[in-house]
Amino acid sequence: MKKKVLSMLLCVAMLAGISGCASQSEKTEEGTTGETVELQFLHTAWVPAQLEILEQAIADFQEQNPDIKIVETRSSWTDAPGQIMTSIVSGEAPDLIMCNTSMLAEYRGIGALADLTDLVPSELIDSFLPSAKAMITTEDGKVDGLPQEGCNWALFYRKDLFEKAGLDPEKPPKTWDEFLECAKALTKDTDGDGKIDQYGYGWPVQAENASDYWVNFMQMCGADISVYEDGAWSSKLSDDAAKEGTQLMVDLVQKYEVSPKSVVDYDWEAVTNAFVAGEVAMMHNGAWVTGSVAEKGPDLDGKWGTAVLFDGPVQAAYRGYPNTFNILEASEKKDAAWKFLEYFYNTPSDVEGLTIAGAFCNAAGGMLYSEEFIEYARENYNDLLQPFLDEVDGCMIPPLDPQWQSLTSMYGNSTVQQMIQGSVSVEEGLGTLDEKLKEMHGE
Amino acid sequence: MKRRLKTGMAPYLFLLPCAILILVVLIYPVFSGLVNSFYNENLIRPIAKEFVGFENYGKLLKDSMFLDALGRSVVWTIVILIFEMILGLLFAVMLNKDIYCKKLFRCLVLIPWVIPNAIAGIIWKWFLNESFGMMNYLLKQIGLINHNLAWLSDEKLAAASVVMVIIWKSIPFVAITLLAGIQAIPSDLYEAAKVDGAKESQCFRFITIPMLQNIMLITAILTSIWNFNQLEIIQVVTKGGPGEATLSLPVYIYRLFMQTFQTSYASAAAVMMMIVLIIPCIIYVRKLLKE
Repeated sequence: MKKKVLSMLLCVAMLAGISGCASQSEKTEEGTTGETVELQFLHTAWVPAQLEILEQAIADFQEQNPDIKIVETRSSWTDAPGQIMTSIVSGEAPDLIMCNTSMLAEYRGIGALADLTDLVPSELIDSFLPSAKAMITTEDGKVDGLPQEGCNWALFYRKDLFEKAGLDPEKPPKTWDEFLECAKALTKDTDGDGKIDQYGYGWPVQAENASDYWVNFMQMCGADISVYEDGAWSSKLSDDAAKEGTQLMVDLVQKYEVSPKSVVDYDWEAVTNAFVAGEVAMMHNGAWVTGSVAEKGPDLDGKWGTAVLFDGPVQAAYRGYPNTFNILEASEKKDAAWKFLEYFYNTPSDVEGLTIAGAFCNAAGGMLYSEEFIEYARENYNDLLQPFLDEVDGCMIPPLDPQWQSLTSMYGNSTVQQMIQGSVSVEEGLGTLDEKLKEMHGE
Repeated sequence: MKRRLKTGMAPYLFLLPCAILILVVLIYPVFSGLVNSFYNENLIRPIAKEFVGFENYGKLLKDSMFLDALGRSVVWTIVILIFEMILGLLFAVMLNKDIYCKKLFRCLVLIPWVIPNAIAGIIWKWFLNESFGMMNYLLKQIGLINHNLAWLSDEKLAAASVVMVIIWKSIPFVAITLLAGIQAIPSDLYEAAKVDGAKESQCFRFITIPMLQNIMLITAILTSIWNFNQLEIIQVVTKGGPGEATLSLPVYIYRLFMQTFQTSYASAAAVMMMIVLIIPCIIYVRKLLKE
């Protein structure tokens, strides 16, 4: 008897559960097919101040547009690429997403991003800086996104160590030759034990940093890296400019010995620690690091500075590019998604002189790559950040080749590290990477 | 008749939920991966998914990066196995002695095993830092080195460092399992041996070791499978670098699948890894069945 009662109770509980699920799915169904348009928005914003602005913007937008409901999915830059890619493949993609350069290139490559050319007014596009325009423009001239939070990289240098080395602390290097001269003068055995303990220059080479900075060295020598021509991507890694740029990078460790071999284990934070500890006197790092240096080395106040990155042997190549907002091609609610972006980019924020998009980028310590934002930043940013703003018109973006990320994460990062360590020659390393990229392109 | 049928069906009905769970969570993904390995799916290439037979497997056998990663994983697993068994046994024997605060030490030895892999990786990353790490500081203090060693940026040292961290992580499990095994050995065996004039070392060699053989084999098989599969520690400590010095097979597959979206090729590599791992699994299951 007891067993029967128990089984009855279990059945009732199961039925209740099933009916609960059913009513839940009915509710969801109503939300998507009824009057209200439900917009799926996957983003990677995590800084509390930035999230607050985003939440407020969504709430205000929904109040003005009661027919649109924005459903947020919060992700991270680590998880988002896989999450979005699998959702695209399974046909469950969100409507609106945030992309970084590699995601943008890959999704663009498979035609997953919606063409916004007819939606984005030309005045808005014109207000963006060259690197931002380059990011959102496809190979055939279409616009498929809007730039958002991005960052510039510049030169950090220790004024106190410059002085000790007999260099003028107010004159950071501007050309490649000046840089090399400074780096050599700053490379020292400070305690006389026969081992160099202060290097002239450091940059992050761990994991994905390896390829990001490698691209920068190649761009300094005018390399094209990978170009879109005749309807297909083509590797230019075997060009002389690419070889010169790679050799330039490797020589800093192998030939001139002005950078430690341990750069291969440096991420942005490790190189910052080395900079603060005086193990490297100059470093190439992002704008956000100004805060970290101040925090990690309070005693260094006034003893370090920032400067526009020195020019390469062929040209100035500043690292600086935005992430983007993109609407997915598979979305059936493109108009609603665009309506939100339009609101986000055109509505003034609580911060005087900035739109919501500008305030959103500013809240995370990043930049919106627009004239208006730069004007605001010039007036409000501290002196240490001004050199980063001086670079904005000459910023270069990494290759937007859809296969680039695959090349770098599979082979590029490790090969760059091997070349720097000297276990693989530049000729051999670059040859392998060129061959792999061509194979990926089907060249 | 009905009652007999009911009684006959009962065990299967009890097993059903578990069987369904295993089918959905284990068998289906493995089968799906196996099927996918015979296709040419690459999520960032807009081409139609086609059946390519054993092409991916053929490519893998010519892929030097795959072969190196496989070789590295096999060698590391063997090296780790040797060290963890020797050190684990040493700890087990020590913890079996009547030492002061025995229970406390038994708890302390478990710490590395209890710490999550990612956290352990971060701790060791700092510990092995060339400039600020405790390892170089301690070695310098005791006079073993004059200059800081590049534990994570030198290709040879980085591989050794990763192996060392995995050994550190595995020892507690081996020690505690072997300790349980030692405690299960009947004390009369030792008493009889002592009556016959056996020394402590002889007792260890002729009683402890033979009596632990079975448990040692099972522990060795299990830890080898876990260590071969180790991904988190390597990802956190070196991310497979510098160069390819610490690129193990799981890291290689992770890169293929999660970073370059070569899903079919990655599936083929995962199937190859599964085949390699099946060998110790077969030994393990046969051992269990025998017992």
